Amino acid sequence: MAKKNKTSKAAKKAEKKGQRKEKEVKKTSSVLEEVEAMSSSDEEPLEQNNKNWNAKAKALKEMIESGSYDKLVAKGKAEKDSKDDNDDDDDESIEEVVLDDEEDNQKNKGNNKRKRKNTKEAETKDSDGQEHSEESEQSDEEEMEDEEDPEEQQQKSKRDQTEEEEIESENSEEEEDNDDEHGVFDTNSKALSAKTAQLQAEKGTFPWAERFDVVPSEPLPFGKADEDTGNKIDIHDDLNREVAFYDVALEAVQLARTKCKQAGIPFARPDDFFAEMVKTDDHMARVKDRLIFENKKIEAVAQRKSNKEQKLRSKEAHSNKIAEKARRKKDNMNFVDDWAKGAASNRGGKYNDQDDQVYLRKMQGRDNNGPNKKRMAANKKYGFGGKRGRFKQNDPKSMNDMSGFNPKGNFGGMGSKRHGKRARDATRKRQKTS
Amino acid sequence: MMGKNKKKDKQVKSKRPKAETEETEEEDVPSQEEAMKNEEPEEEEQADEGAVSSEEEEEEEEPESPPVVPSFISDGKYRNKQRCLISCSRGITARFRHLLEDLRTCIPHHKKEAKLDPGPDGIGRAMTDIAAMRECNSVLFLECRKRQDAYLWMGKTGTGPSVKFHVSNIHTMDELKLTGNCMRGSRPVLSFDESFTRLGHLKLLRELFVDIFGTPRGHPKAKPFVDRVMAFYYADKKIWVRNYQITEPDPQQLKQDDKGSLVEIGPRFVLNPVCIFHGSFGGQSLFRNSAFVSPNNSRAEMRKLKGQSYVARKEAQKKHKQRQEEMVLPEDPLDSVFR
Repeated sequence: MAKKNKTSKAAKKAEKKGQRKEKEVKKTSSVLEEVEAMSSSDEEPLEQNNKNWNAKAKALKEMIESGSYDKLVAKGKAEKDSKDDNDDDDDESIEEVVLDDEEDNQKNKGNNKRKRKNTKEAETKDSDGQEHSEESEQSDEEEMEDEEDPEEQQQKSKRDQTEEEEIESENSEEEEDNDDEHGVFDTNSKALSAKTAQLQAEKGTFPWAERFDVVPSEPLPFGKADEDTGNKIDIHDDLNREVAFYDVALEAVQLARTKCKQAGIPFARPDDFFAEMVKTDDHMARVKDRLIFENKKIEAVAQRKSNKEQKLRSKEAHSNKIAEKARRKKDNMNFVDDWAKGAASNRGGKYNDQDDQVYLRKMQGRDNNGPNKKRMAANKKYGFGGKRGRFKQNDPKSMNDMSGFNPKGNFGGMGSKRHGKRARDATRKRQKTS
Repeated sequence: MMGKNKKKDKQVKSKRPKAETEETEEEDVPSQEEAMKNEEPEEEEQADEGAVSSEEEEEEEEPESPPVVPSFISDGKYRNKQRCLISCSRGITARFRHLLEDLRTCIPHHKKEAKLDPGPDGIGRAMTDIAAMRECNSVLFLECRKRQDAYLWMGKTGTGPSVKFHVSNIHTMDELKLTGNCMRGSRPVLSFDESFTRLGHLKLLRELFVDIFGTPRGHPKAKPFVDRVMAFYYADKKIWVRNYQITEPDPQQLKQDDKGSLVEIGPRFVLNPVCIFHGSFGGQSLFRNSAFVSPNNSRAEMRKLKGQSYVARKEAQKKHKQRQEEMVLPEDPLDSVFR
């Protein structure tokens, strides 16, 4: 059905223009026959489709007149020779394009924008990368345009006359397209481009060595609605933003290095070349100090962490060791006990087992005699609480007791009755003589 | 062979009158350079002029033939003459002052001017007059308003365009976190984002940046080796500026990493273009950023919002009351059926 519609539309166009080559007419008619043979006829939707086709044809015509398919004309001319081969392909490709009305319109609009971009970029000599990618997308429509070449040829002369105006209108439109992405800019694009051109012309004859500017091809991955590049870094994500900047600058440096080599400008600074630097040595020393300080901080934190871990582990190990030791001691004692029992029984009945046992107990050091006496004594003397705890606390009487205070300052302690050296020597002497 | 000799003679003749007008010291140099030139094919002559001459003239002063009175001794070769007048307005704060100082160190072809008090005619008039006096062909003016906002004017005197930027996110070279260092006077590599080749106003700005931030070749204060990258990025409708020091890769590690590394020197700042004018400090407006909200307005908006809270609360209460009155269940006739 689609084929049929397409061919009917083509036939109508031929009638309108009246300049279709016989070749094409014949071909379309032959195609028509084939189509009729293949497809079933549904008259009513066909009429509706015809209406749609009329509208589409008009839209296409307008687009062609506005010059958005200029690029394709050149291509079409190239392909003109091999038209015979391409016709079948054309039909198939056109079918793909025609599937849905709405989609087609949208696609046309989108392609329009891209094609306008194409023309503008062709004029302003911008990067070729974009053009190539967009041309490939439009391959379908390119082939569709082959059949309309004669019309385009006619219209081309018309276009040439009005080219300048249209280009500028396209420019302004395109600025809007671009700027819609960026927000609304109020640009007087004619004057802007004129001024830019003037500035560029002043430096037109400069070799690169004079300008030293470089445009790295790596794009910035900051979130835009229509960019296809995967990573969209938020502009407020500081770390990643700076990393992106760094990468682009590094690429620029590589480009500059090669260009300098070509221009014969030395790039790398030799170690023995001394020159005044932008930041003074004092400043760099402070920077170094700060770096060292920051490193120390990091190290301190790491050290503290490791210390903590180590302490934990060492405590664990220590407690394990103690437990181990205690266990071994216990085992030892048990063994000795067993031996004692055995020894006593082996030696015969006359001996007093109890004596042996007592003796052996003594050897063991009286493990079972309760808590450590030394420990208890120390607790009593130095510890807090208990019966005598009260006596270790201050009461007003003890606090106001000034008996220990000696204004003369012979610091011999509270109850010390030791005299000074002179007095002691004197008494000693007296004792000796007496 | 004969042909070549003829060419040589012709060129020597054309060059000699110019050379004679200049100092005698450097008379030999052009002849040497011409000899070298003649060996090269004609097509590349123009392109290589700069390259060939640069090697020998890197330490010499730059020749030029502009209509303006030259500041350095010229040698008969065409050279790019740029002089930038860097100044600021009164009422400038410490941060902006330091930024300007940093820019002065980064731009060796600058002329310093004291603080400017805008006269009755406004800044533009004063700047153009002073620039004409000091024979500068570009201007960099930092205007500080309310001791809070800084606007950077950049432009070419005479017929050139001028731009007004709003500067934000300033980090000066004094910050200890920016650890790089470079030679004073080394020519920077200017790196432009690919957006600078697409958008109209950015193309114009690129030319301005090349003139102002790029050191002209052979400038007396310029040093020979390439030490620094000044990178301009376009993101979020603003221009982000970064300065990096280029560190060479270790020759031992050449196989592993052919690339060197970059260390940030500073200063770093963000420029928000406000408007571009056709003339210097005025004239027909070529570009106006409608997305730019002046900091005054943004502050006013914030204060308004704060004031809104009371009004909003009262309105909410009213609405709540209204809704309560409206939301009444209709009487169900079947309610009284069962008791």
